[in-house]
Amino acid sequence: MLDAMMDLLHTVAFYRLFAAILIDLIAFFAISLLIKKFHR
Amino acid sequence: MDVKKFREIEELYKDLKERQAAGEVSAEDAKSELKKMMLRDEENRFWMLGGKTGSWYVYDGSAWKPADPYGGQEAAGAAPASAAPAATTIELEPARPAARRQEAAAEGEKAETLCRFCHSRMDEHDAYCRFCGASPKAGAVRQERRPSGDEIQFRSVRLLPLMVFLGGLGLVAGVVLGATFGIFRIFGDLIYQFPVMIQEMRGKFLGGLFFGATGAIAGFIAFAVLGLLLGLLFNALCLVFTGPRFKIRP
Repeated sequence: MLDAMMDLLHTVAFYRLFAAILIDLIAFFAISLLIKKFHR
Repeated sequence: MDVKKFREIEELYKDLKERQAAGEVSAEDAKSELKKMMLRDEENRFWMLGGKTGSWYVYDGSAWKPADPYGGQEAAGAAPASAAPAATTIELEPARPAARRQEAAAEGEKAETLCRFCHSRMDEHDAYCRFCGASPKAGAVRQERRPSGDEIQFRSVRLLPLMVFLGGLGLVAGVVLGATFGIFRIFGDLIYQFPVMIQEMRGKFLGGLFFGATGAIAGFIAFAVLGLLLGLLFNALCLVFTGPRFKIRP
């Protein structure tokens, strides 16, 4: 069961998913910080 | 001596003076407000701010005398200008300790009415306290509403920070959900509602990135609206039923 899940997580589609989530989150947090900085 | 209480009253006094200067409060109202700002210390002495001087006065049992609550140095002087209840002519009965009161009750002494605000003795049918001028009813309401030192009460929530905070939560959820939608086949045939150019991104890294960003914006807006509705509901409930009260560890 665990092996099957690990195999699924190590597919290209999941790598793409994690990368997309990470990059989107970093981008939005950076934008938010910039807005906060220039808003004050 | 609880210095914090004195500081609080001084803040209230400043605020009152500002409001009086701005014409929001009449001189009479300011006077009666000032009467309500009387304090009682651990030694059962009454303290009050002078209406014109803004300095502290202590009631020594017969007259108001200028004194410094922080240094404990008392100096002789005139009574405060606004100590309206002509303190010198009024007998002051400081509140008795609870044990003594019980003792008196046990002896069959008629239970006396004490002012809810300054704890001086009142006649049973007095509408106002002869000493501090407070109405027993008004005092009771005010005391019920004011939380004690180790309690905080929520009166209302500011809508904008709540919307931004919940919006941020929605943003994170939107990124995860959107990116999953951009890569995997979730939500059935919803993808076919989008233009072909966007449909082609599906399953690729770019699709995850694009739908993640779209989901983030949608999530932010949806949760911000949710925050607005929740905040409005909370404020309405607080207005009608008074806000929840929490005990804190001092």
